[in-house]
Amino acid sequence: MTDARPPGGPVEDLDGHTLDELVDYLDRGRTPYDPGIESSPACRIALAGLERLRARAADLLEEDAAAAPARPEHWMTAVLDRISLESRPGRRFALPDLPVGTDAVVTEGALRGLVRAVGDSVPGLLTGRVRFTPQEPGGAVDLAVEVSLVFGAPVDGTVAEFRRRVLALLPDQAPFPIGRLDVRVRDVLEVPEGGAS
Amino acid sequence: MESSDVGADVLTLASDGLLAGRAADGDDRAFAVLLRRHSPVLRAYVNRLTRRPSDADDVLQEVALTAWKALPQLQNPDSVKAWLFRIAERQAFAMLRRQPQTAEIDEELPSAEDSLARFDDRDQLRSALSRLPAQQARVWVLREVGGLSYDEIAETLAVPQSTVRGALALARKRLLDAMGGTA
Repeated sequence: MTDARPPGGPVEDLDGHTLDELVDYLDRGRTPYDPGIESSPACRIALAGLERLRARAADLLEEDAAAAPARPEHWMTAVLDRISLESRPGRRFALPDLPVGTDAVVTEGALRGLVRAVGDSVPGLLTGRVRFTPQEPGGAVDLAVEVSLVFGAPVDGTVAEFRRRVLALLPDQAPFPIGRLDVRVRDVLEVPEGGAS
Repeated sequence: MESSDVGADVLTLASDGLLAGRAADGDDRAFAVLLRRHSPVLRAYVNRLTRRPSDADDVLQEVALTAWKALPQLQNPDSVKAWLFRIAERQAFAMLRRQPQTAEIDEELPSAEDSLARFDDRDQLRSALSRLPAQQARVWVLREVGGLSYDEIAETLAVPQSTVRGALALARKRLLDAMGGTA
């Protein structure tokens, strides 16, 4: 950014260049260097103006949002009420060894929720996406879980504790043998002093 | 299992990508955190595109419901904010098509007087933007705020690319002229 301010008056004469050309030139990061544009005072003034405009555009929505009066977000409540009724069941896994004539399933969604809850119970860890990948029908199911760690939590110990808790609980709940359990740490959470707001 | 209520608090610190992944898995708490985090700027964006703040709640509701349904298909959860913006564009223009106004009556958007004490670049842009014809303002906002390509803007507005280029050139010239005055 530059402090150069174009003088008052409209952008008209750009020494044979158009505003579109200047915008394209800016979009390319002013490379390759164009002596025709760079040596024209009118173009340089317009470029400075375009850069200021772009900087302001980048902040426009945040500023609008900050200036907006606080309001009750009734629409959000309506949305959350509605989606809580629309679960994501995913695949259905039949429970084995039931008496003939009976039938029961556990949904992938329920098992994901279980893994999520187990993960969130581990100090310093927050569960992300949970993936079940059956190897073959009736066989073991692999599990891939993304997690975030709170800054400062020991990686090895925290992930090991997560694995321990999942493997302690899931075999009792899932109607299939657990194959691989892959845990990927996707990012680290910075928790401000005094905890989350 | 130990019960833990730390999740609800820590969720507010979680990355967009983690929240989007959880929401895709069906965690409505994570989705609520995402909505609270991004709805103020989404509302501002919708208002800039439609100039009808009184309809923003309806648009945002559609944005949220569409997002919830489509989240499992989102390829890159880390880009969920940009993805929500794309949904907001579609829903904003869908609303304008559903409820066209015979006369273009622009509602009040944040202006210099009520938002900022200093009259500077920001106010000049706001004021100039509000004076632009609606279509020019829309095209400029889609390009410079939404980051859409000319082709994407043409598709979003269902107009030829030449129309987009023309409107954008006029918008830029007027905004530059307006911001060119001495502060």
